[in-house]
Amino acid sequence: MFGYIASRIFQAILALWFIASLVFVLSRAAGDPAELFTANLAAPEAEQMMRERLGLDQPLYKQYVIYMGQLIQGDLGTSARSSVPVVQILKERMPATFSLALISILIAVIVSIPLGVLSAIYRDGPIDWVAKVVSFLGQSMPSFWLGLMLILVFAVLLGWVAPAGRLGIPSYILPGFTLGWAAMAGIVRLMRSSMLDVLDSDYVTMARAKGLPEVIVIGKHALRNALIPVITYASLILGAFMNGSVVVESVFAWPGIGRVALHSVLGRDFPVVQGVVIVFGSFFIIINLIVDILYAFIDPRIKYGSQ
Amino acid sequence: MPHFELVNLRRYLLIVTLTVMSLIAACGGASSEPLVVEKEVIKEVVKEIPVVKEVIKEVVKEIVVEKEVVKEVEKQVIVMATPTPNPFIYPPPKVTPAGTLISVGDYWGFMGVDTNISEDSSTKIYINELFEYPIDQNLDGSLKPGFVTKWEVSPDQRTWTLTIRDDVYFHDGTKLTAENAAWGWNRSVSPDTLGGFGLEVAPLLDPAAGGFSAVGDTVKFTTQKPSSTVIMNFTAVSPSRSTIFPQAYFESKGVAGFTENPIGTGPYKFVRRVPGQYMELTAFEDHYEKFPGYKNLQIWDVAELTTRVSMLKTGHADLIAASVRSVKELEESGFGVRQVPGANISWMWYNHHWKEGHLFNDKRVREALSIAIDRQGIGDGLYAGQAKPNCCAYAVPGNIGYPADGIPHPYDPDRAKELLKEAGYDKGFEVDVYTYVGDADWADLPGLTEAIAGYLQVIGLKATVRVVDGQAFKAVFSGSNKDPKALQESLAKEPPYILGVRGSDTRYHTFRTSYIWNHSKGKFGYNQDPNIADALLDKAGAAFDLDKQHEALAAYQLHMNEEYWHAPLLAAVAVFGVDRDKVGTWHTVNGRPFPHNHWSIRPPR
Repeated sequence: MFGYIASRIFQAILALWFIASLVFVLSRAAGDPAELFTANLAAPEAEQMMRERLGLDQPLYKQYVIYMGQLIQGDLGTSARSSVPVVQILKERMPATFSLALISILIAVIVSIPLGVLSAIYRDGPIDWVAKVVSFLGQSMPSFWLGLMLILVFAVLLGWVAPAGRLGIPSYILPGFTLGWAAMAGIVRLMRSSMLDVLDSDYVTMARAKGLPEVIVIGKHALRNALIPVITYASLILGAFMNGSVVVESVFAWPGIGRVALHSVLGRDFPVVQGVVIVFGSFFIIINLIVDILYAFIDPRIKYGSQ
Repeated sequence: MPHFELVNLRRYLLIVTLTVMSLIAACGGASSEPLVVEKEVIKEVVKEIPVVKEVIKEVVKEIVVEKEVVKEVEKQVIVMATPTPNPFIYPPPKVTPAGTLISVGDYWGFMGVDTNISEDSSTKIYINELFEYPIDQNLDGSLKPGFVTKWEVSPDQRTWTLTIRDDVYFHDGTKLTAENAAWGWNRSVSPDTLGGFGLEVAPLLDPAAGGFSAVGDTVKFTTQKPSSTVIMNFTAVSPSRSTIFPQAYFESKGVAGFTENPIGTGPYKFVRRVPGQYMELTAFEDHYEKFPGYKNLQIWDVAELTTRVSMLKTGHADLIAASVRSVKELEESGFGVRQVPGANISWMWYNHHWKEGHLFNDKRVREALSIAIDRQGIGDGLYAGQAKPNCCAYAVPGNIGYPADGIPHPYDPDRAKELLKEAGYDKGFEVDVYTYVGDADWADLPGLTEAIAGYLQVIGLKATVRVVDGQAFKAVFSGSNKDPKALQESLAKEPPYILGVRGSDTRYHTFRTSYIWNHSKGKFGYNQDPNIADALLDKAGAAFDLDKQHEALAAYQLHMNEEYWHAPLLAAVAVFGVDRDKVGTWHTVNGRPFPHNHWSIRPPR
């Protein structure tokens, strides 16, 4: 087990290094950063001044060494537009995005896992039909449209919540539901098919034959095994929420990283774009690592490394 | 047994479902009573609105009557010598600030408040409230003293002297001195903190003169060579930020500390900044000139227009930055609409127009393409009547360089076809019409470009719309002209010939923008022919007198217009939706690029 974890951590570090290097190359391939940083009206000499300030007058390998050195120390540079350290910007925005992602996955899981389980148990019944409708709508409704509709209904028509902003727990409901809605669809379908597979398996038949109560059969024997692919999917969805939050954050004026990413791309603020990509990438890699490690604990059949 | 357990499970689920449904019903019942009260209030407001509309209609009727007897009205004015009452007094009179104003727009998150070095778009929004400019603007757009009372240039036109007003105080009570101002501007141009204002001014300064220096109540600086427009960087009309922070406070707190609690000299003081969400300010009642109308001001950053409109409708906003297309919706919902005229403009470019023998070097072709476009039709249709045909790029009436006799290009598709025939292109040709996404300064550039492509097809051209990234767009019109190799490659790919549709906020002073794009030595190299605009732009650049600059720039704009060197399209208003119960008068400045001076808003009487 230790060997496996160590090897996965090493792979994660390699992946992070690759992402960081890719970001470095791409940001320089997109054009002369000094030109991008300098206002249109500035004199041509200003570009050279900016180049010197940012160290862009150095050879590329030196720039790379400096960049990696700064990265290891947690220095992601300074925003070209606002002149604020990128780390500070991300630190200010991170809690909003993380908390929204967690609430969204929570909403998605709370609704979709029971719905998926019930639709598998009562196959082709009314609950299964409801689950299919949820899946269909979840996958077909774009989040920006759903978000706007929720605002119009629950904020404008009913006046139950504020239309935008992060102002306490109630303000999480609409963006959380919007972000979680699409995930619900996937989780319901996956949970249902996974549960159906498990319910048809020999050990479930054996458990029933032993006379175990159905609640125990489903809750302990079937659900635990059926959850494995769902946990993987939900974890990856959590990572995707970080990226997918761009649209939802814009619709609900949510002060998270997604909006920073959008503004930075539009404003060509590439130190911030770099920072966001590295943070999102790291988050994804860490989630994957955690999921891989969790597998070993969830399913005793899974053994890594030593075999 | 399993069957028995399943029945139990069903019962259990039934009980849970019923309980949840009861809870939902109970919650709904509990909240329904206050909701009904809220709806009643909203209905009352709606009932009041038709009355307001009636009043407006009556005024319009009066104006129509006056127009019919226009000569009599003129005589009355002359005999009685009655001055026309001006509803806008600048600065607005002192009032006791009261209440809270919530203003909402797409303000890019309030990332930084270090306006000396920040280029962050959101700083535009609060700079007029928290800080201020050395040289300010009158309501008609003309320049007026801000915290600098005088600006003079030496006889050799290199050394500028700015006199600092002697009754300006920071929010912490310290006085703004010439030494403090010189420190702030030196910080802006320092190589370590270079950005924004510094990037524009630093390259012009004479290194031997040592930057900005305080002499008595003045600050002096010297440029390497005469620069008539360097002073524009110190004005409210410049995109760069020439604000000043209190030196002692800034040095004691450091950048991070200052960002946490910034202090300026503006009419509003800082309360809090919630990054990505809003900035809260409170009235600075000791300001020497500007007296806020509200005790508290919250400026929210909300990117999505529908969300902003929802905030207005639900009472979570009092004033929103809207779109030219939302005027009807706002009016129908009973909200007020405020329009700042001439805030944004759009125009069309012809690539390689400067190159002899090129298709676009032929005036007949340029004219044909420009007069093929029904500007009025696009303004009325696509922009709901909120955009009008304009004669010039970057400038609208009231801006320096806008020619009083400038006429927008007409719409005449028949003449356009004749011109193409005369030029030998009666069978038309292929054009790629480039535009870009993500520009907040013009609503729906792709939509405008689609419309233009449609008009070009009517006169026989095969027009294809290409929507690209802003930087890629710029590269098409600069890179392929500046670099001889890229130029050859670009020319070899023609046809399709390349047109570009751009949008921008207006420039109060059009010299520098015109120079960088249209002078043959301009930074972007869009034009390489010195005969097109160099003489007129050089004349404008050499003039230190503002009137002479205006005269020369107006001549340049007229020349560009009459020769069809570019095709100016439309000038649009900036639209704001307001809650009539919260927003009364608002002193917007005509043609100002950033019409956000919240301090000048007054609650209704």
